[in-house]
Amino acid sequence: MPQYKIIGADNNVYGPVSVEQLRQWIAEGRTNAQTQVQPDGAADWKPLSAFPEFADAFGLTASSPTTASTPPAVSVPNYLVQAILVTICCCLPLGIPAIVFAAQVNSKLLAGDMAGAQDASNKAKMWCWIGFGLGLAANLISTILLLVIFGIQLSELRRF
Amino acid sequence: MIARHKIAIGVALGLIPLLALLFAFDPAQCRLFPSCLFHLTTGLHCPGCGATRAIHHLLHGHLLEAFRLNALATLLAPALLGALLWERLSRNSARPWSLSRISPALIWTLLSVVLLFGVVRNIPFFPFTVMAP
Repeated sequence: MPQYKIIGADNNVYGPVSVEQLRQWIAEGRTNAQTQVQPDGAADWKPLSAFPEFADAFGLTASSPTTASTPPAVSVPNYLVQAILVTICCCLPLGIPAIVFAAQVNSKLLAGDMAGAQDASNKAKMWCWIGFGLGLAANLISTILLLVIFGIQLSELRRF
Repeated sequence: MIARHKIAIGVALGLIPLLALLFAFDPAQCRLFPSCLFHLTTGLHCPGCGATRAIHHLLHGHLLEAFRLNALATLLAPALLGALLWERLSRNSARPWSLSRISPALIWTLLSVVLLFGVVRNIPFFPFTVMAP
């Protein structure tokens, strides 16, 4: 994940922060196109407007109709695939909220609400991990219990 | 911080032995694979019941048998795999495609289909019994 440092209006250096955090700052108006930015590992500072990956974030705050209508190039992950896998493969009740938050990521992106989409994205990710963790633990415990109860039937394995 | 593609490679490498096990052993014949806890505790079929067996048959190319065991997983597995690949391959193109950009209505439909499939396959008479694993 790329990290960025910025020079604030008070001439102090902030960061390094993630793309998501920096996008949120743009959305909140804490940074603007002239803000000096240094990507992790780069030697020189450049204005934020020189980074194409943030161009769309300005479209949302500038509210100019031409830029706001084009979808942002960088997207907020909705973890839909993981959410479906958790729902079907490990834990139905915990996978459902993950899918619900995945859908919210899409609706909020569609409405141009980047901060809301990021929030829903974080929640979708959280439910995926909770479902995966609990599902994995429960399945491991039940498998071990079943193996202990029935014994490992090696003849079953040798059949193939 | 570990790069995302390294995590993806790690996950893919971890999946290979799992899929090899699933290819070699039919989950219906051996207790190597965990049974669905939802089924064990409630006796009902969840939307994912039969998916492990279905993937075993998918790996052997037995499409019909996979479809009979879990129609939803049989259809979703290639769709999800395709979506992930498409998302990754289009990342550096002029117009990147992402699952975050599909219509929210499509996700709500998907959720409804998953839940409906879970209900319908538990109805104990024909033609719904066809969908039970």
